[in-house]
Amino acid sequence: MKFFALIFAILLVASCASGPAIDTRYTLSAPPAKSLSSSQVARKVIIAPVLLPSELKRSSIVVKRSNGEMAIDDDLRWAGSLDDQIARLLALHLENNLGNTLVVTEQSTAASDADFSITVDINRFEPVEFERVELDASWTVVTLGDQRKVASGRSSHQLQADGSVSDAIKKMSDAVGKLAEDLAIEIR
Amino acid sequence: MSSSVPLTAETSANHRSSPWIWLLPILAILVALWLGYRQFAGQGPEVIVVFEDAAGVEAKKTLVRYKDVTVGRVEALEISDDLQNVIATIRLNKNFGSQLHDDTRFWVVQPRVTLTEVSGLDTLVSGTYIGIDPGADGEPRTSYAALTKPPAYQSSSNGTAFKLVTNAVGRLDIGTPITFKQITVGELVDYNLTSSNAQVEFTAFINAPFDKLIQKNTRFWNASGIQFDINSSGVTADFDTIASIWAGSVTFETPLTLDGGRAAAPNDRFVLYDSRNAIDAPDLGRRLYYQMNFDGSLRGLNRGASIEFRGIRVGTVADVQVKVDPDTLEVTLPVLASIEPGRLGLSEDSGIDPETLIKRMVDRGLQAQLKTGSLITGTLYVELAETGRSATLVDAEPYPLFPTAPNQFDEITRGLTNLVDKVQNIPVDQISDEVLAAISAVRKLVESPSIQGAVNSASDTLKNIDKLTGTLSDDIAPITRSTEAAIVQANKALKALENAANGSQNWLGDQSPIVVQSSRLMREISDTARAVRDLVDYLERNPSSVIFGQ
Repeated sequence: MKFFALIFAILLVASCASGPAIDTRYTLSAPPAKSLSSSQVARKVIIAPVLLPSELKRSSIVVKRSNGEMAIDDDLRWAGSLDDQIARLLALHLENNLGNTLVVTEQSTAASDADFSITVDINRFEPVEFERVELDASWTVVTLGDQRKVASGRSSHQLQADGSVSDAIKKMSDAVGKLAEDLAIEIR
Repeated sequence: MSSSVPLTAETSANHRSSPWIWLLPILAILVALWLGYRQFAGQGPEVIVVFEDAAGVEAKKTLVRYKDVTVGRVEALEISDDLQNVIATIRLNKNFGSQLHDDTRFWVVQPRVTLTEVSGLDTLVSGTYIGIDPGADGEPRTSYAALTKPPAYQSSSNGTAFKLVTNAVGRLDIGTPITFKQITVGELVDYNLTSSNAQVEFTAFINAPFDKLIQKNTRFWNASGIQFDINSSGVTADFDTIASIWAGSVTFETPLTLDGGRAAAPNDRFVLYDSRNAIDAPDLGRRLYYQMNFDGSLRGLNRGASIEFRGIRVGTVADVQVKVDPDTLEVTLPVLASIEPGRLGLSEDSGIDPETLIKRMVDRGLQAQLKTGSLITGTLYVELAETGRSATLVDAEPYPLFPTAPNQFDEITRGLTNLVDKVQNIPVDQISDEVLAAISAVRKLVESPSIQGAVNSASDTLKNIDKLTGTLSDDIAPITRSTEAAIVQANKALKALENAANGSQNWLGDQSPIVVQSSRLMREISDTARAVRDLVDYLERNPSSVIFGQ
């Protein structure tokens, strides 16, 4: 009886044991940033905190199935919060698109004395079976001084991916870049 | 020649018998008397023994034996008037008659075959006989009630009897062996209901010299069958002896104590636990009951939950109820706590009143507090915590009210709630508006043309006064100097006020350290909340990960 108990204990311990875990996390890929001296800065824009739908407010990457289901894969996780990544990526893309404009996120210490504030509400932003990325966002641009609305609109983009996770993540980054282009047109 | 012969004398001589002829009857009578005396003198006392059943017992035939030696015989048998018993008249040998005592026991020896014992097989050949245990105490009696079965031990046996109290007989029986380290050292010899009929009291006989192993703190438990235990270290199966698997057994241990232990006295009472693990379960000894009213939810606190003092179980939650006052609709959650003083080291013979001691401990800050026993199952237990805050044990019916203290989680939650309430109640908008208004007002005041005009007027006035002082007598000169100094001080005060206003603007500005730090703090709190939400979400989908990891 002791023998069977020992075997059971060994199996139990063996089932609990695992090798050293390699935790892979993903992040949206950002474009290279340009250097901008203070003399070159003609105006300043801040990106307000990006609002995500509740199903995307999680560390796991949410994948949409073709039948409409949302799948949460705990092995695919973002390295940081998705809204922060989108805000920083938008800022970099906008800065590259606008030239002499300093674009920062609201967290930045350089966020004071801005001329414009951009508010982005993400309605949909997920890969579909890793074969397609869909981005749908509403945005508003207001002046910071008198809170006057300069522009508002909605952008939708769909980019094809090759079915791999890494390409789907890259296409998600590109979709944010497309959104930044839409915003740059309104602010320019 | 004639001769005379005395006929009478001759006749007389013929009828005279020899005196020796009476010797034989006399001898016969003496022998008979001697035999009768010997018979009478050789007889022991006659006793009446009442049997419930006297199967195999015959008058003038069935013998009485002690240690296989005949010490008497059944002289007569008759049925009692109520037809319930058999009354045997037993004649004991003379030399055994003096051995009778008040506790002398008789029983019928027959063949007996049980799971644990085979005895009396010799009577298959020799016939049924009556066994006798002469006993040791008390004056002899003339009648005795016989045992229905042979006693497990006799007065001449070496050993000690103890009492074991348990809830039910279960698989135990008379003859169940008592083992110690798999060695049979005694057996259960009798059982009866306790006086309250609530429990069963076994008589356990421990043979010498093993009876010296029994001390006041010895713990007995039922080792019958096989006990399986599944825990984090695997599965273990435990049993005492092979015989105990089907016939049952009782075993015991004597834990080491700081005082070295005290030897148990004959017929001391012990608790017979259901299993080895049940020793840590509630005791069967004296209990003190208290009512505890806790605030908040009692989810996870069940009947049977332990009550602990510094991590040692000292009692059990006996009941948990919800009571609603029909008038005030006030809801109370009374918990009935059963404290076992024995687990606090207060045995019944310690001479200390446990109720008084607990009352004193409450006076010095002992309070009941709910604590989480398992984060996985969420079960709660009651901790008798030494809070250091004096409390009172309130006399109430049906049970005294034991003071309770909020648990640590409640205290933290309450503290945070109070803090949040206070922060929420701070009129931040109002304060900032007022500060800004004050700064603006000061700035307007400083920059006001009227003030500038007033200063200019004051300057002109000073000049005029200066001129005037030149014309006035020397007595007025000190007054003039004082006035001038006062105005200089007023100018300095106005300057300081302006600087203070500018400073306020600096530390309330967008880039002020306070605002930046506050913003970052809120960001950290937001990230933490998100991490907690992720964790909860993950646990909802993978509850087993709490045990087995991700």
